Amino acid sequence: MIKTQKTEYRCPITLTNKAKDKMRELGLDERSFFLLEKSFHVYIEKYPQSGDGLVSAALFFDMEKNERLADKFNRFVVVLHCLVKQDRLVVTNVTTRPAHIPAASNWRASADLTFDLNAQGSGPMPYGLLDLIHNMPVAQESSMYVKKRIASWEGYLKIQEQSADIPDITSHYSTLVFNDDFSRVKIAGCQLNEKEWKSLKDMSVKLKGIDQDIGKVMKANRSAATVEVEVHGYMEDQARRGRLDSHPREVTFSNFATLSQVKRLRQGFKQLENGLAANPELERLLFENKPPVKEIKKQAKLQFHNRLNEFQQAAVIGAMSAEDLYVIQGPPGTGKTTVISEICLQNAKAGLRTLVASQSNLAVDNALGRLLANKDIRILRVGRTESIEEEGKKFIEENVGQYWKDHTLKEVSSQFEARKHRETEVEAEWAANEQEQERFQKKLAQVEDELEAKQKAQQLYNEIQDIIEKHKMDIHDAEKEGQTVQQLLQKIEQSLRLLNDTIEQDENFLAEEPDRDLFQKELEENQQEIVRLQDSVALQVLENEINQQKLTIDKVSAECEKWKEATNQQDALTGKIAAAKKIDTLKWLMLEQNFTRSLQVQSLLSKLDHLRERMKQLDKLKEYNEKLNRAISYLEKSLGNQHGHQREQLKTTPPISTTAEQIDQLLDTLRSELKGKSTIHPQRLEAFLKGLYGRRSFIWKKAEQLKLNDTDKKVAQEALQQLKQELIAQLKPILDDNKMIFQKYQRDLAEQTAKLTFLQNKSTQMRASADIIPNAKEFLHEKEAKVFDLQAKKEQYAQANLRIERNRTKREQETLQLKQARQKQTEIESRLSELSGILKEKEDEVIPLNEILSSEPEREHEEVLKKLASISFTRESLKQEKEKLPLFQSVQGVWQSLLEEANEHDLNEIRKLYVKHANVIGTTCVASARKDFIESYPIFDVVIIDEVSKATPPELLLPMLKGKKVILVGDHHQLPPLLGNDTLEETLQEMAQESEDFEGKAELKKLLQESLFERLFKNLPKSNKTMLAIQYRMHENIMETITPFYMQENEQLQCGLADSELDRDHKLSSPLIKRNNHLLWLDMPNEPAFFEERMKGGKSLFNPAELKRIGELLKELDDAAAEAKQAGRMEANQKKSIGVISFYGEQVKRIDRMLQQELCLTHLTIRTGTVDRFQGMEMDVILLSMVRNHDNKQDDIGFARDYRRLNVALSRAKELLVMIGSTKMFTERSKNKEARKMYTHVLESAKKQDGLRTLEEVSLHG
Amino acid sequence: MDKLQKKLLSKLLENPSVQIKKAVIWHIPMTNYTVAFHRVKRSKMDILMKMMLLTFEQAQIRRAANLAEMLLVEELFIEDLLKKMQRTGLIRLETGSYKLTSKGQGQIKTGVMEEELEEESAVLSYSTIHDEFWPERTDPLPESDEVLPVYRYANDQNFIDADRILHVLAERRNSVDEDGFQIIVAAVNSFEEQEVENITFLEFQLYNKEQDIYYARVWNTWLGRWDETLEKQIEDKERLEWRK
Repeated sequence: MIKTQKTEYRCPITLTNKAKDKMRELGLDERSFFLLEKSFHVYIEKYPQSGDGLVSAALFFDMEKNERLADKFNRFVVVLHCLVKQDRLVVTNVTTRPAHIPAASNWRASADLTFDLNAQGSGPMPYGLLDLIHNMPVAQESSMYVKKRIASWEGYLKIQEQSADIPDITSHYSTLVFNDDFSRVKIAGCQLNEKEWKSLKDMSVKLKGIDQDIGKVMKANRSAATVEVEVHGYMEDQARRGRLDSHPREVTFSNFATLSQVKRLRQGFKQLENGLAANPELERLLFENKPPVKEIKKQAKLQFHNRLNEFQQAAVIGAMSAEDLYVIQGPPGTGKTTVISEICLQNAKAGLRTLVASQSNLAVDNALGRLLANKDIRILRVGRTESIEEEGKKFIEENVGQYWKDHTLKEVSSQFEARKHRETEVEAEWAANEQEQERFQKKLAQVEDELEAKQKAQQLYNEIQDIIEKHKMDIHDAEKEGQTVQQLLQKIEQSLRLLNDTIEQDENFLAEEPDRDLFQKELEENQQEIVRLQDSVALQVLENEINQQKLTIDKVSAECEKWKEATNQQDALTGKIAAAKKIDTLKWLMLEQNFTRSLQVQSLLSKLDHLRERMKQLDKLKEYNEKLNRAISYLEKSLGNQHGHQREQLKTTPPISTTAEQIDQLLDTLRSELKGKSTIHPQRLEAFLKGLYGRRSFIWKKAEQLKLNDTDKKVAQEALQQLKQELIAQLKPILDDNKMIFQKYQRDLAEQTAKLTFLQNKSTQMRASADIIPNAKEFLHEKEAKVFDLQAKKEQYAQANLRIERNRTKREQETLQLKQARQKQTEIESRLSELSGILKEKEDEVIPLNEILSSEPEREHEEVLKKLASISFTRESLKQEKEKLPLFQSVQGVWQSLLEEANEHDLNEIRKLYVKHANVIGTTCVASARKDFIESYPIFDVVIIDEVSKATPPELLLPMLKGKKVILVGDHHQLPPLLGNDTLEETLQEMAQESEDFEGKAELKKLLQESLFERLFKNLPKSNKTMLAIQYRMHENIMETITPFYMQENEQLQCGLADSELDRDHKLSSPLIKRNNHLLWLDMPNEPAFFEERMKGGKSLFNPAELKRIGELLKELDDAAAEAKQAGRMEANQKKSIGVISFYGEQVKRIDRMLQQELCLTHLTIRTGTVDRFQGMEMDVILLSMVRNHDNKQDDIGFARDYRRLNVALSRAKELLVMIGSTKMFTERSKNKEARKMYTHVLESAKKQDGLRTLEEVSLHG
Repeated sequence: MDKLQKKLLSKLLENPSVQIKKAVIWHIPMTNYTVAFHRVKRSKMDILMKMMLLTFEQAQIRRAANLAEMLLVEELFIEDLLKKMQRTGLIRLETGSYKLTSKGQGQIKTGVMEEELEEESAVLSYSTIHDEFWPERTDPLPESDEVLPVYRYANDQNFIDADRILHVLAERRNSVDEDGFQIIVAAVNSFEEQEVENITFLEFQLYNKEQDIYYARVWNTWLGRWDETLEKQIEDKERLEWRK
């Protein structure tokens, strides 16, 4: 626990007045105090540096090592608070601490100080001491570090503290009602207040007059005023005797156990804070993300005492080699306990003391029960006797004497018995040994002769071998040379063959081809013909060109004509315009020629039109004037001279404004009146006449206004003239264009005509020298090809000639080379045959030697020597045995009878020795913090914690505090801690219901996601962890269901059974279960008749349909077991061990009731429990009732969702696993994708193994 | 007997959900044996220490390891005891090997000595059905006037032998006297079967309607307690019948 540095320092010291006063108050004298010891053993604690940079520290005086101080002053620990100066310590204050608080801690450094009160002039403080203080950590800081980190674990304590801090509750009661097997009692008629009713759960129960607790509260029913209690097993006898029910009827509920447990857990926190862990680095190992484990110096070399597989060996070696922390991940059935057993034994052999701790008593007992009985291992089980299981009982203190005796007696008896026959055996062995020795001595001599012969042979062999080697080398050289020559020969021959062929070919070619001159002639002829043909072609081309030209000229002159015509037309038009006298003519022309009516033209036209309109109106006026005149004259005539002057007056009638129609109307009226009546009143006529006059004078007036004057006429003339000019101007550009085009074509025509003339001239010239030959072009191509051909042939001919000449020279040279090479070959061959002759000779000489050499007298020699050594060793030990045998036999005989007779009292001394030297101590995590335990065992070399994942971190901390080295064994893929009787989910659910504001809940949930074990396992370096990857429990078909849970790990889970079919044969055969079935899923339909139900007034679920199914299945299994016995597959008295498990506690209760009340299964041993409770157990057959089945969209599959729970459920069975539940519910309706995936994997595995049973099949058989 | 039955009934009916389906009274045979045995008186001894002393007399022991090998005992134990024996002057190291002192020799003598006591006798009561020896009773058993039927599953097997009797007697009669000497039952000299006594039992067959369970309660008048052995036997054999 404490770094014990044995260093002694001189320490100058002075006290301030305050300190001196304090000392006197405490009844200490300054002078005599420091004189009590020569040197004091103290623990130095460093304080945080003050603002002014001064270092201060406290000195705690050890009250055991400073004996004289302790004699005088032992009630308290004295503490000196000092300033640390360069030359001395200045004591500023003196205080005391209670003696039971340890002075030593990981935050304090120990030292032996010799105080020197004459500080002045005694020189500076020793450098070592200053250095020690300077380099040590500040205690408060280290504590703070722990405090901060450990705060995250508070949630666990809070849960337990929730109900812990309650004073004892006492009440009267009326009756005690026991259940059928006295395992429970209902206490009726309790009188408690509301708060008390609420807090009863899990409290321990005591009855007045009974010393021990009778049990633990399971359920408090306030309305019925009853408390249901689970009775401890050791109370059954008293209950059956009716002794519990005695007056006065008073019951006390107490929380003492829980409270003291929480206290211990808190105390663990405190110890870590105060630096009291056995391993000073513990807090950092626990809290750092990368646990700072010490590097492993070297791997331990071990001899194992258990049969271990490679992973188990690695785990043991790793655990033994690790300095501080080692973690073993052990999936179900992988032999964790074997590993623990081996580590304990290795530790024992190495003289180390081991603590084996676990969360539950059961696990501790399991682990201890499987340790090898070996005299080096002394196991002691510490804990309350009544809670220790059978397997652990033999190791409790009162029984270890007996255990030791039993074990020793067994050993002694077996040796004693064995030795009885030993005497004669030893004699016989002795004789045999002598014979053997003689035989081997002879053999030795013989072998040594052989050795010598072999050495000689070897020498000779080496000599010959040298010669052979040399010759072989020569032969090798010669052969190589021969090969070279052979290759040369082949090459030359090949080349010659080639040359001859070439020459022959060329000669043949020359012979076949005609003469060279003939070639030349033909060539020239052809060339001439080519010239002729070329000319003809050129002529032809020219003719074509001329024809083309003529056509062009025709085209151009036509164009020329056209444009000339156009120009003339335009000219004519201009003439017409100029000659036009009338506007209408112009208008017509404009329409005809489609002139543009420019603004100018428009205005001119309108001006002219206006004038013409006036003329027209004048004409009309003239017409009506005449009409009126005629009427007037008629009337004047008719009237005669009547009313002459009146008529004269009438003539001056003022103008009456009128229109043409009115005039016509008037005239018509007049005419009709004249016609109709023979006589017309002259007055009437006068009126008419007056109207006529008036109208005539209006017309006159109008005519006067309209009459054209000279100016008007002149304007009209000018306008007409302007219009003409305008039109002519519009025509002018077109005319110009036409003229230009016409001129251009005229020029073109002239050019083309000139060109034609030129071509015609040329043609005339050419005709003089060439003719036109039809198809000249094709002939020309032919001829040119022919010439090309001829030239090529000519070239070939010349080359062939040259080649022949060259090749002939070469042939001569090569023939010469060939001759030389052949000669050399002959030489080499003769040399070779000579050499191989010699070699053969030498090799013949070697053959007999080889025979000698191939024999191996050395090995035999060695073996003979070894054998002789072992013979003499055996002889020696036989000799010793012979000497010792009678003595041993007599001593052990006495010893045996003494042991046989020994009783408890006789073993008392042994018991004491055993306990003193116990080297494997087993206890639960929490019990390891009991006061008496801490006093007996403050520290362990190694602490092994089993089933780590089932313990909470505060629980784990307790044993960890005690270990220099900690080994954790667990599996984070199995379930996390249980709290009380419930799963964590249930506890959380309940707490949430009870108090809305439970703070720790969120925090705890987070912690539950990743356990301490998981984090450590993930973050530790490879050297400090192992996964045991070979399991021996399950048939490989069952194992298959859980392998996905371990996929993330480095190793894949493997099955270590040599033959699953043979080793895990369930031997049963029934309608549903075939011999080769190991994994079955009995599907329950996802229909209302098969749905889950909720218990009345509770939260737990059950499923009646599954219950019924399980009942039927158990009967079937029972029958199958009976049949297996009959068929001789099972022993007659053997029972199948069957576990019936469920995710839900209520279902388990109902299964229990059914088993007890409704079934009689004589061939089965059945255990039941929730999946959580079954962790760590194994059975031949497991039936899993899955319970959840509903069609509620809001609801899910509850805590069957947790893969760790499924993992545990699937991995309990050795031979056969039967799941009873709705496949649809779990593989389809489950909300969580991962959950669906994992159940689907199970279903697929079952299907693959032909293990899915649907209801049809089930009812068919059932 | 009626009184007892009534008392038990009322006790059982304290549980309101319980119905009594049947109540019967019968007896089982219990055999009495008279046993003659004798006890010895001897000193308490630490057997390992005694064995070591005996060995030193016989052999030359130089080191703890030799003794550990011979006795198949942890060397640590031997070492501890060697020190203790040297300290208390029982042995000393003489020319390299351990020798007894006169005190040591005296110790052996007292350790080996045994004083045989007078022959004694006792009566043991044995129930064949339970295969158990029952403790003696001082107060009288309740009497019954009727002739009771014998228990329907009674048997007459008998597994008694001297060893078992010795074991039972050792548990009852071994003691330590005021001088620290042990008084131990050393041997059973003889044992003889006496008359067979009929022990009355009261059986109740119960039904708990709340939990829908049937069970049996059987009162053992000799032991004055509910007898789980017979309860279980009856339940195993009859429960399924009751449910029909």
